[in-house]
Amino acid sequence: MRFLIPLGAFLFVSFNLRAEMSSQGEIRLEMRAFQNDDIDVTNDYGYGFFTRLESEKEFKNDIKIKARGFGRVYQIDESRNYFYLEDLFMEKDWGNTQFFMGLRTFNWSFAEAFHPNDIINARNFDSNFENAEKIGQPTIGLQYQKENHGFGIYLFPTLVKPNLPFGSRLSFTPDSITNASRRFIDTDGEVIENQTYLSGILFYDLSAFGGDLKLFWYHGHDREQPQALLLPGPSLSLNFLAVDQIGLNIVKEVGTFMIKSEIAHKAYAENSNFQRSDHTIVSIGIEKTFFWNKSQETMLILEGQGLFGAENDDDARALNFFQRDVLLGLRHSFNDAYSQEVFFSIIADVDKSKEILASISYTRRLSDQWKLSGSLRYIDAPQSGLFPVGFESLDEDHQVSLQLSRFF
Amino acid sequence: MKLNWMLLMVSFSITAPVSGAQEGKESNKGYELMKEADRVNSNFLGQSNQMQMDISDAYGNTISRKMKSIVMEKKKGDKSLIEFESPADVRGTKMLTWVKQTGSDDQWLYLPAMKRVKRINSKSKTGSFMGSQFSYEDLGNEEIEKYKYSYIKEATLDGRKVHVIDRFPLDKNSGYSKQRVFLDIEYQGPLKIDYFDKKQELLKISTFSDYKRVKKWWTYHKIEMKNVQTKKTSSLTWTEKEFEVKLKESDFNSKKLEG
Repeated sequence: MRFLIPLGAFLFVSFNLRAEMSSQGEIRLEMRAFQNDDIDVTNDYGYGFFTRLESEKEFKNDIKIKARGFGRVYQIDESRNYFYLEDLFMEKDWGNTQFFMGLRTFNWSFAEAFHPNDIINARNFDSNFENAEKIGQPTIGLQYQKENHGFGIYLFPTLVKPNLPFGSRLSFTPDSITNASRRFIDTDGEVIENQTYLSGILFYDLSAFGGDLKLFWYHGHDREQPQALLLPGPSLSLNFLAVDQIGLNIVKEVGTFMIKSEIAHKAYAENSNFQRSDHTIVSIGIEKTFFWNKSQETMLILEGQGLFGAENDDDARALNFFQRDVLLGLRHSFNDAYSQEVFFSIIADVDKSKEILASISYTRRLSDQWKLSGSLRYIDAPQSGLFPVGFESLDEDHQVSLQLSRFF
Repeated sequence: MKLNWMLLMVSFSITAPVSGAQEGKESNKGYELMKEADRVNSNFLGQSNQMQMDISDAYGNTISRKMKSIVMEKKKGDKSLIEFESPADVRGTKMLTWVKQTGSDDQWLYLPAMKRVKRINSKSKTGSFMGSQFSYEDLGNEEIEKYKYSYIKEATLDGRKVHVIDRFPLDKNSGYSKQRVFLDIEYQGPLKIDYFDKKQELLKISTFSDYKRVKKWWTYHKIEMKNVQTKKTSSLTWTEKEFEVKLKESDFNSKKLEG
């Protein structure tokens, strides 16, 4: 019931600022079912409610307070009972300069599936792992933007652990493991006992020549794929190592195509306790939209990601879910009164393994308040070693899900 | 810079040189009339709008979307920001446009559910704007230098005197081969535009109505866009329209989209 505490805080803030406050939200009835895996500890189906609430209050002196959070309450699968704050911050705006303080989520990716530079927030991996839900990061930020360029610095005074759904069908650990310690490791290789640790990011943005560019330096922890260690007991420890990351994001129009690229170089702190290969991840994508009669349109998306600098294939697979993968996506929008949309995507490992993740989803409005959506996912990632690595642990976790949303 | 014909503005620069695309006396007359309309509709500085977009299909199903927008007149190209207020599933969606006098405009869409800022390809102009019959091209900038003109005649439309002018997009990415503009002589604004597709067939008709004088400018308060090929219609109705609104340059920073 820990989620009730932030929920209470959220409501406290909301109701105390009710005057002139804008607010909105969504309540969603969800159902999720997996192909039966014949393992007792995992739940193959579940249903429950998802809620997202958002409110914002603007004062006359250009100060803004914003709160946003989401939660789930599930029957059968109690691991899905949680609430996370995405935003709870105060911002002062001086025109070109903004200062803010509080919990905040950021989206630093231009891509559909591969996001090596979208690293600020911890994730809730009890969702689609290629576009996982995000958890608010305590941040003190100062940013400046004038005309087409800007820069800023964000400081992160505390560490936020991702939600890793142990014992769930979406767990990245073997199904028999129902818990594991999640530890942050400092630059000396010592375990950080409390979650107070200063990290930060320095960035520069530019919009020019029909494109956008973001360049940054991040000093913090790598939460993309923890390093797993089997400890005496036996128990599993998932370790988030200290990292310095240089990142470059580019999106650029080239004719009627949109080209997107993210380049990330990760350098890990050197110490005797934990070692990890410094490496570079490059993702590149291309988008093209086709327009049909009757106002319908189809967007074709092609993305690829490669990992460079690993010692060998096993090392690469321990560093990132996607070592040499491609995505082919098709998004068809009917542009009708029901806003119907179909999205199909397939992610395939182009290396030696046979990993394939295919999904198809459909969305349509039922009215101004109601929306219906459903999806099918097929995951084929056979285990090649003694233990599952990367999304091998999701092998045959085929699933179907349905959502009925009410917006308010 | 000038008042918007559509959602944003007709923002051909009066300082721009006369295009080499203008040929012949009647072409020049069309160009000069459009240039004069541009001059008359200039100097609004800042514009603030409250609008409703109604989107109907051929079967009579209609959805309504409410939005607000601000437009800032700039010498180097106007800037505009549109934000959807309802229905709830699209609330908070924003579109930021930086018009350029030459070359492609910069345009970004903010999707609040994913907190994602997405750059829109300015060459994909024919795409539907939020499922409506208005394309990004219809709603975007219409600099006079981006067209070639041919004056047709003076005529009467719905009892009002108009100049009929054909304009031909020079941009090869335009979804149209020709637009026939019925320019109201008194309002110095359009009463109707016929849009012809690349096959030279009539595709859409927009009608501009409910003209009112706001400060020194005549301005319409409703546009209806009908796709004659699909029978779908969309309309934009202004519930509020203000000119000479004081706006800050920083209101149009892409960083502000993320809220």
